[in-house]
Amino acid sequence: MIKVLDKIDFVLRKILVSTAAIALMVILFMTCANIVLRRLGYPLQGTFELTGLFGAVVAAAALGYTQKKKENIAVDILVNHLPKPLRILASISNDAFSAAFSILASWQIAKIGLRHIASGEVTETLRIIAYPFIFITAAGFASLGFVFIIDLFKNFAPKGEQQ
Amino acid sequence: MSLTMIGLLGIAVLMVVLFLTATPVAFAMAVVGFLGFCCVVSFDAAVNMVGSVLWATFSKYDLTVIPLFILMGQIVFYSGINEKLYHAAYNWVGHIRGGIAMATVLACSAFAAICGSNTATAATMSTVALPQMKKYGYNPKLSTGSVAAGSTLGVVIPPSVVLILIGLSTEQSIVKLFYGGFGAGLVLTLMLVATIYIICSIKPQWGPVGEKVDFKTKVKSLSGAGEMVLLFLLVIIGLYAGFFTPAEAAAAGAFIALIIALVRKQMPIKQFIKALKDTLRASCMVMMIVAGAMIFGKFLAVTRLPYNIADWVATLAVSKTVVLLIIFGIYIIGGMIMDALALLIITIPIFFPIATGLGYDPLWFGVTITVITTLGAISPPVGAVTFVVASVAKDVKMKDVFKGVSIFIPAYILCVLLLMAFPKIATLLPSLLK
Repeated sequence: MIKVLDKIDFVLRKILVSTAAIALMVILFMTCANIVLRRLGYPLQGTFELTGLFGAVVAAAALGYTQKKKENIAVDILVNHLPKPLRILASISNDAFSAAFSILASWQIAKIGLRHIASGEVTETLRIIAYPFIFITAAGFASLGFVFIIDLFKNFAPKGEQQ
Repeated sequence: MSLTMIGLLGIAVLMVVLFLTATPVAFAMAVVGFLGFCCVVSFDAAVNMVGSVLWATFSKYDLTVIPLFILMGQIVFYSGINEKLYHAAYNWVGHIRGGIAMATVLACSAFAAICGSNTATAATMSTVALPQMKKYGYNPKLSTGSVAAGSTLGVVIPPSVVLILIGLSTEQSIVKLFYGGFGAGLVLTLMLVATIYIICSIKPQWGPVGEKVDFKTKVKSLSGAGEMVLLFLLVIIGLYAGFFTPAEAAAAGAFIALIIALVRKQMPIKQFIKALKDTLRASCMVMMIVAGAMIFGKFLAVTRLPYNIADWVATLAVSKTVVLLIIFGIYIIGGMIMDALALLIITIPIFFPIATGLGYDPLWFGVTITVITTLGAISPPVGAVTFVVASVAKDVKMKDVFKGVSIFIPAYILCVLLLMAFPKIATLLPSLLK
């Protein structure tokens, strides 16, 4: 069961991390192009707007990957000294709360995207749709929630299946 | 229960969650902030607030400066420039007593100026400098201590993610904070070098002299590090002249660093992918902390706790210096048990209004607390930088590494005292900005 979830998570994360990396390179080249073109009198319209949208993809799409690598800062100074059963209890509560929050965040951000579709909302400068970026951000949070859920299951799995 | 009490209770719950469940700081702040907002306002309002705050934070143009500056640092990190910086510094000061340790601190400050991360600086400089100091018979306490202390300059000297976050959370100019950090970083670098000089004067056997090189070799060694000096100047002068926004400066810096690395054939595709992955991880971590802090900040704002505390402190019958020293004390202790970034993000909404309410310059306060929290990066038990150095210096005991860094603690204290006595160290350069 956990192995299957891990595989699904791996594929999801790979797609999302690649998306984030591409978005980062887009921001990099677009910003540099705008610096040069602005000096020549031909600024790229909507660069700030697009940078913000792609920035959301950069930050959100790799959320699951970041958590999988345990990169998020935690204060484990006390927990490391707790007896094992209490450490597991701490881990369960941590994973459960974080998973619930990530899923709630994903749903609420997706709702913003749905509202954009329903109202036909477009961006101020370029007059383009923003909801694809919003849905990728929501997917990033969903992926994060998925990582926490797998970690939560692992707390209850037999020793051999935990890794 | 009054709103202020709910706010205080929220902070207490946050601390319990942080310390007793080891929940990542970002999620702890977000969850406690969400639940607190539920209590004070309503569940529906809290749910809506979470979605809108997260989307607004993640899509904020100003925050794209974070992944771009991190990318610049990662490209520089993976291109191996640290060796060139170290050899340039070594050729210039390595021949004097304790010179190799001084060269390490100077190379750390130069690397920090383009990298912005203290752990990345520690990892690279440990690999380059520790074998060299071992070869010349340096005392392991001095060698590991100088690398660890020098690496903390990464968060003081711009570009620094910590300064960016202080700027964003206190609505100050990031450019001005960078210039303030530059002055403080310079003073701290001099203090660290002076510490090595004093230690080696008292215990000459700790820092034997290195090889002396001729002037031609010294000048030649500068060419290897020249591009990076140019890169730093481009970013800093571009910001100063108003040619770039901070995000543009970061993008231009990352782009030029990439071109330099490609021209010098120091960035194979595998290394570049590693740089990208590291950038994404670090950026996500920082952005999530910012988002968590925003949610927690919304909760604190509805309780009016920060303003009430600031008003209360203003009525206390103690001098403002005492209040400031108490705040600094909290940062020193907090820095020992928490990551600097997380500590600043959690505490700024509380302490920043107090400091500004007492009449302290916001920019000076931001720079000074940055210097203070860097102490936490080298002091036990958290001391991330010290652990990085110790992981490279496998033949040196952990307690000796901590003893080594403790030699440099007076330098930090002196730097903070100088900042208090002469605030212009942090405010002069920013005041010259247009």
